[in-house]
Amino acid sequence: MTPEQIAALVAKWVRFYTRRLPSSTAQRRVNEIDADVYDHIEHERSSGTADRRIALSILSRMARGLAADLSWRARHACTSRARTNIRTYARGAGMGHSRTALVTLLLAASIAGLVWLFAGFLFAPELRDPHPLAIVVWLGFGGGLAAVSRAAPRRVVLGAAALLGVVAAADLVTPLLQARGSLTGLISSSEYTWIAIAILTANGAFPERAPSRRSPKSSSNVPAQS
Amino acid sequence: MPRRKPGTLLPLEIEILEVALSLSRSGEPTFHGFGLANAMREQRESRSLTGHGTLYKALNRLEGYGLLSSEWEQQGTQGRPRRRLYELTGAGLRVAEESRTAPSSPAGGRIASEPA
Repeated sequence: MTPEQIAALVAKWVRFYTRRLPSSTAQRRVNEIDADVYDHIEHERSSGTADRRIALSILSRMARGLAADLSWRARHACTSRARTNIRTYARGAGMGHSRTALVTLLLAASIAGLVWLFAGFLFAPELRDPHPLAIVVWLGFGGGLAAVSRAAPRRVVLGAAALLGVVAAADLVTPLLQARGSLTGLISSSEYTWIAIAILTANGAFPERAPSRRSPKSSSNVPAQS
Repeated sequence: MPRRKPGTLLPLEIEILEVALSLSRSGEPTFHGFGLANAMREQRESRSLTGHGTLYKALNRLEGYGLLSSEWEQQGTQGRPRRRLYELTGAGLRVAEESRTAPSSPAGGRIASEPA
């Protein structure tokens, strides 16, 4: 996990929650966060901070701002709906908002899943044992990965799902590996399978919207709402 | 997050104005998002920086109240993205000074009107 990888994740997230907002509003937020993350990495590196710590710090800032991002989007989506007064756009923005809420929830769950994974791996091996809460966390993690994967190219998504499927199958059928419990020692074959299914379902069941649902061109003329 | 009483600022917004005032008095009248977050971290001697969403939403609100103004940097340094530079307005300066001198008084952190 490098700072650049987390910066790319933040950039994707910002572009996701600013989609279909007036372009000047969206572009301002995107450019501001890009500059902020760039400055963050440069500052920490010049102070001699380790890359992993920088990455975690950026991820933490993103996670702590998720709720504010969502409410900011809701406010601007409402503003742009009121200004454009175009019925089809209003429908599209409403759907976008509920989808953003869902993805925010899944993203938060996936970050919780990552924290759970690292905490269990590093500090508390007993957390890796089956536990009802672990199932919830892994469902969220799988859902989060599935949601994030919608922004990735289809070839990458299918490759990742196939890889997870192969790992799950190998984990299940290889006696040697079964004796060790699982391939990585972190999660079981059924969890790999569920994650793969979640990714494929998210990408297959919810195709991209038709262009007609996107914001009308006129919305880009709305003055910037800071 | 604490609920806002009409005509008042949230603690984070007051903190931003006070840090902006400190920066202004130390010869940096303009500041950018990460610079502000870092200055806030140092001032409160914390380890973590304010979340992206929380910080920029608060900056937008303060700009909406007319307490801050902002513009894009003319040109970024080679390879660095352009920063949005913020500055205290006259009203922002007054509110920050009031808040700093009398943090517990009813006037501290009060704004004249709600944003448009």
